[in-house]
Amino acid sequence: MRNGFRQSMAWLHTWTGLLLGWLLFAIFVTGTSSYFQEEITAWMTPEVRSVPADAPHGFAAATRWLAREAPNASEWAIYSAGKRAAGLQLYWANGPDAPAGAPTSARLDGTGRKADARETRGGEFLYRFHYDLHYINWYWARWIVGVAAMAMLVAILSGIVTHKKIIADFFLLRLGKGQRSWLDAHNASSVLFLPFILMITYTGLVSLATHYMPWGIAANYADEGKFFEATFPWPAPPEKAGAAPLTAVAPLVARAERAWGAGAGSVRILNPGDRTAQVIVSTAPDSGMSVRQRSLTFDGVTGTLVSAHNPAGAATATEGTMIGLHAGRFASSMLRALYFLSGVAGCVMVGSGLILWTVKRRARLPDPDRPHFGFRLVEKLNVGAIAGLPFAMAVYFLANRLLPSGATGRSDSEIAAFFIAWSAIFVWAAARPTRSAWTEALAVAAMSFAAVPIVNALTTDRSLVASLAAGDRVFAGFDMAMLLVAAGFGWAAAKAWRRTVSPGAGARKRSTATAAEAA
Amino acid sequence: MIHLLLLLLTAIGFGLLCLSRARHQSDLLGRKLTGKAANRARWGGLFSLALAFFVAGDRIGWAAGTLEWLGAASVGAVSTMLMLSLRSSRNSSR
Repeated sequence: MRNGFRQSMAWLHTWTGLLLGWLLFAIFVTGTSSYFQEEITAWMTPEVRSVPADAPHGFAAATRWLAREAPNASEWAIYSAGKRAAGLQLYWANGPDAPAGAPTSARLDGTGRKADARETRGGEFLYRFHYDLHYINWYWARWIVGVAAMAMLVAILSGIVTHKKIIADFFLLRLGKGQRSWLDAHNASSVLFLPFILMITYTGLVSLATHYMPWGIAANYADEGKFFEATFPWPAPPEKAGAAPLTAVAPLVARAERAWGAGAGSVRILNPGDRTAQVIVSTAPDSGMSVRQRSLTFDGVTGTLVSAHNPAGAATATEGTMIGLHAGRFASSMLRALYFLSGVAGCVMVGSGLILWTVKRRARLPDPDRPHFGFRLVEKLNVGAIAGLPFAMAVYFLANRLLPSGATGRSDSEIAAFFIAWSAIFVWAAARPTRSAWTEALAVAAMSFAAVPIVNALTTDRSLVASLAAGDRVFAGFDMAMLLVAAGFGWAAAKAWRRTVSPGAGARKRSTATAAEAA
Repeated sequence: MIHLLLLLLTAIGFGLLCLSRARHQSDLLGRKLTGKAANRARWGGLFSLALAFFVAGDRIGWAAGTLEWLGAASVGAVSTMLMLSLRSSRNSSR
């Protein structure tokens, strides 16, 4: 009976893992890269240089810029992604007298000057892709991602049941032994990183819980809008009442930071320059473990505190902290590195699981040279997902440097390059024998990653050497990470190539066996 | 510094736990440990991991410290696994 239960769990593990494995791999890879979302965005906008010195002065400088450029706006909003962000993002709502096509957003560098950065979605595209996908409606995308995450949870739990010797095989990694090695790698990456992998899957589901289970809201609020209004208050600017000078913003930001003991991340100013002006200061995304932001509202003329918003209910705090754990925005650089490594382990787990499916079945094929359609399909999809997605990311970075910086719809072209590259690997895998396709796809991924720092050095003045000399950790770190990833793919390509020239030990054993039979 | 100390403590912890396993001893040391020595390695390993947890909580704070301890423990376990894998492949090729 017990054996029967374990077998049914193994079946569940195999098929939930396979069916959604390719999507899960893409979610894991792009999600893992998002731990360095701000750094990726910084690298993709090389025109933006300095980082703001401190929040009060940065926000004050941005306010002065807005007073000059959009004095009649009904609302100004200034956002900072926190300590790691390069520059500030500004948005404003133009007054009725502004021309129709007037700009409503700008990016400032750390000194408070407008940064003429190339148009790019930067790291945000990869971040959004990991739960909203792309080219399809976000509503359905989140359902698809949710189904994948649920399948992941099922695969993890059934995997734990299936794994007979978690404790006995805890430290085992036997290399160069074909199927045995793939199984060890799959086990090691999941068992040794189990706390992270369980946490990230569960909290990922929690972060979209109101999307998947809206009934709690439906039972208590007239409509969803009312719920979000109560949870995330977003006051609209009132009717203007007559000019009055705006109070200084820096002291308000400093006061808010003192009150919280945490950094400020955004300032919204309603009706600037009017008697009804309000200044709303909110905490930065990296200011605490919970993602739910606290805010203070000040009178925009006198600077007195009007109200405070502090989402402190136990359920809100739990939910906010779970999402915070998932996103890791609060993390110190060491913890961020550990988050990233754990994410890489998750990618290895999903990737090795997908490969294991084919490795296990190849030995049992009636004719290994002409496998059935399902087997071939899985093999081709594996190449496209595991080698293709990283290649697409390298192409995304290359496109950022190579597309002309003034072109219209530039950010969309970067994203198009990403998907064209990714599809190309699927087509290539379908057209070529699988073993050669693996070697070629891995090699082209390695070359593209290696090309990123080279193209960066040729197209900007922020080469790896220049960044190292200037002590620029973000740019130097990005370029070195690209080289490291290139080396990893190069190693994998060499491994795959050696296998195509001299087929593995298993195949040799089989051929000697048939030779013996023939004799 | 504290981060390096955590990585060191968790690597020692899992290294000792690995050493307490009869099946890994000849790969790591080239000989079997006595029951008493293996016991000592097991408790030493658990103590090192527990110490890392308290150091992390005390120095980094219990919330972020627990997270960092879990992350460091994973890295410590992986480094132990890689060391064992390296030693056993060297032993078997000899």
